[in-house]
Amino acid sequence: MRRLLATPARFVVLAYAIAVAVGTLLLELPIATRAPGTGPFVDALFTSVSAVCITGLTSVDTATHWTAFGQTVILALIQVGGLGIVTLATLLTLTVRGRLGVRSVKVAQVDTHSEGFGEVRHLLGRIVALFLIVEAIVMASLFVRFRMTYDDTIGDASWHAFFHSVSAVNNAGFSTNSDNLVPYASDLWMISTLSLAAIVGGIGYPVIFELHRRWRRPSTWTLHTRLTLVGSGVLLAAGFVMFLTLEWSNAGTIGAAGWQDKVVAAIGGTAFPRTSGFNAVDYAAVRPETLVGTQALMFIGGGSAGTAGGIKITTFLVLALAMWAEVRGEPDVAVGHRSLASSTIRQALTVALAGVALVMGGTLTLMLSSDLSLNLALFESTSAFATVGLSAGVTPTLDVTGKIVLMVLMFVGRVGPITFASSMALRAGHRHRRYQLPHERPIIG
Amino acid sequence: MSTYRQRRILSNPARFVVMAYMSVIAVGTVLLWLPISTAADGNAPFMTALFTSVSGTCITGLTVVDTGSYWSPFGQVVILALVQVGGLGIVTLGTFAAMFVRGRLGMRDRMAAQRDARALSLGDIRQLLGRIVRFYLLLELVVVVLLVARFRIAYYDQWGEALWYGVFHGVAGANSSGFSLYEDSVMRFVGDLGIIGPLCLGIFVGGLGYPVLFELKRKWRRPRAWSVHTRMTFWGSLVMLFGLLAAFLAFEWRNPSTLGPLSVHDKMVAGLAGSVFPRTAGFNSVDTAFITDETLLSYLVVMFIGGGSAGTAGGIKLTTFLILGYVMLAVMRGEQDVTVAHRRIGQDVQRQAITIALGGVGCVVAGTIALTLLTEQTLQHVLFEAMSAFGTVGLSAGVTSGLTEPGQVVLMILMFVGRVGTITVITSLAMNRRHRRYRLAEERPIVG
Repeated sequence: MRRLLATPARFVVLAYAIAVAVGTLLLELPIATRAPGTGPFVDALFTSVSAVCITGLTSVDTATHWTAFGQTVILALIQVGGLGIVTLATLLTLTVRGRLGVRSVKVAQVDTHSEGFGEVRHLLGRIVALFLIVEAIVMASLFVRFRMTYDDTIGDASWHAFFHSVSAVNNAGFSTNSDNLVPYASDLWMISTLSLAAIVGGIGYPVIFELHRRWRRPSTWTLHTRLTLVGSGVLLAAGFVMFLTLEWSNAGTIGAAGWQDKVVAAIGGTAFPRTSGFNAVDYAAVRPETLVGTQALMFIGGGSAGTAGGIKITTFLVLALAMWAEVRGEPDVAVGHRSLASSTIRQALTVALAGVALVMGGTLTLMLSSDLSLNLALFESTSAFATVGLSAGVTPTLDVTGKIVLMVLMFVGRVGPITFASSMALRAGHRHRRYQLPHERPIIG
Repeated sequence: MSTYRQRRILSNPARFVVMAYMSVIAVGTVLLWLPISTAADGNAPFMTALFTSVSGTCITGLTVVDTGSYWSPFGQVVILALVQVGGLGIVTLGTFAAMFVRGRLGMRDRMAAQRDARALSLGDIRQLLGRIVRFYLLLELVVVVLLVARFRIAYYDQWGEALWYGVFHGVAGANSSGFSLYEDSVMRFVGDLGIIGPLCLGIFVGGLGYPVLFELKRKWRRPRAWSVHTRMTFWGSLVMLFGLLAAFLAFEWRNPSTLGPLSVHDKMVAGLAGSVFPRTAGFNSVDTAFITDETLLSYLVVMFIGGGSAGTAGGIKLTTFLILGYVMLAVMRGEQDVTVAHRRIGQDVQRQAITIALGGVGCVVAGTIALTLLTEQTLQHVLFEAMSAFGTVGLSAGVTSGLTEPGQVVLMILMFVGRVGTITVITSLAMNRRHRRYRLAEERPIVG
């Protein structure tokens, strides 16, 4: 047991695995499914992985397959997965024992992506508080809308509002409707509330805390905050324009709607792929160009240390900046009067390449195990790796192999390729060479 | 005069490479535009001449018209000349750039010294140039002789025909361009090892790159003495070859449109072709439009990676790809240095590899999006075509022949960037080192 938990990375992976296991057991109970008896094991497992990894891909219809108990379990898994399983466990230790060991802090650092050793203690409580506040606001807004416009009873309205707000802030993309958000496709209130919730949840707590402290003085913001904010803004705008222009006259999606409705759909079309996974249009009917663009958005994802998936905006920007600096012949990779450490660049490269490799491997296996065409398989595996949860409608049709592939992608995507790889311990412990090997230069390009 | 010109070239080799290729393309276009270049009356449309010229010079092999029936023998000779010039050009320029970047030759210093002494013999460079050209011409000769013999024995009664077909396909093959005089590429020879074998030999050896071949020639008995570059390229090539062979056979064995109806012997020969050609030749012995999606995906990867540096291969090159892999491995193991075979890889090399690879991804994605907007073809075929153009491979899933003119322009840009881009970028990277006398404060954004 001690060897199993030798590194923080391994602990994190194990914690997520345990959460998935518990979720699966609960969803396997007869009271979780509407149909009499227990559901198929693979569906319970898939739903549990999808919820803990806050993805939102579903092999069965959330609205009709699961009972209220089952849906509550899913919601709890989303909440646990979104906050970070280790964050919760550490917080629990903190309350019970009143103090934290060095080990627990190390583990929490890995899960929350925080740098400073001392800040972890204070951080955890604030992360939880932040989530609860945002969720409460979103829920209030949704409740009003459900009650006033859609004439739900108070009970229904609060359940729907609760479910959707947790699902949106945690970027999960589960919905209590069989057709997800399609009924609200032209509802500006619903779409913009959920979009905002997804963006705020996905931007990451480091950015939010820093904005909270220093929003008046942008010149003092850290590089991380600046990169994330600029990147988010650009990606959101680009996605909006792309979705609107490409889908404007597509009869299968928004072609028939008025221009206001098209704009509303485009807001959802740019905010949801980065990584919440709600869909207000049918992604099985969008144009192939939109699929490509949406894939790019999904792969890049949102901010670090949030509920977003993908390789993260900063990773993407760091690589782009490294490239730019190289082309200009700069000795350092510099941005905003700061230089980037070469270890950061290497890490970014690793995350991105591991992402590409995982998505490619997943796509190939999906195509082998089913008759999917390349672009659908690619879309589905990108969606799983980036823990988005958009589906071109093929997940329910997959066989067991295909579902396992998606589960692996979701799990590795959520835990993070580097954490996952170091937990697998290619070589245990850090190796410090006391010498340097001679230098050699292969020809590149 | 020559002093001035040489100084200009040395001060900006990147621009020189681009200008050289553009001039060759321009001359080729004009020649192909002449009425005597086409088999029918009248001259070819300008865009057709331009596309063929770009494709020939960039040794790609994508075509908008059928090479065998559309062009007259004169036009075919022009295409062959373009392939030859493009192939030798990329090998020599690539080798020079590599030596320059590595600093082995110390070219600039040596030349600067000569310039001061007003002795502009450039002996070393001529010598090296001569060696490279001799080597590649020898390779071509071997391939051509083998092909001519096989054509004469099995297919043509006339020496003239056998000679012409042998020379054309031999030169096209040894330079890794996929031009063929047959409208079905080499599909009619699918089971004939006598044709497929020499072609594969030329493509594989030519694609290793001169620096590797040169080192293999000197040290082939002592693999332990090989440089990191040679090790990576050589073993990487072999692994990629056998990996793709296994994948191709597995995915296509039962495909009724490709390998399905063939005998086991023919399947093996087709498998050899199917695993060598995508690494940058662009011949096809089975119909690329009917391969399974799984093969298509593997081809995409292989086309993107390409072959060895400073050879006739395209793509981002094996070393670039492998270095990125080793960087990943080092990060995952938590190591400080990136090491390959007991050698440390410098940070500048890592950054260059990142730049080349990401630039390639950017080009292909941009090209694909542009092409999807311009055609009604499926995404995977468009992606395949864009990747084939960028990797200067020349395999076609049937999109190119139906493209409109804007689409052809997109492919031309991809071919040009794929051929000239990597070498240009790498040279200018090595040239334009800026030196700041201060360093900015370091900051670490959270990544991943």
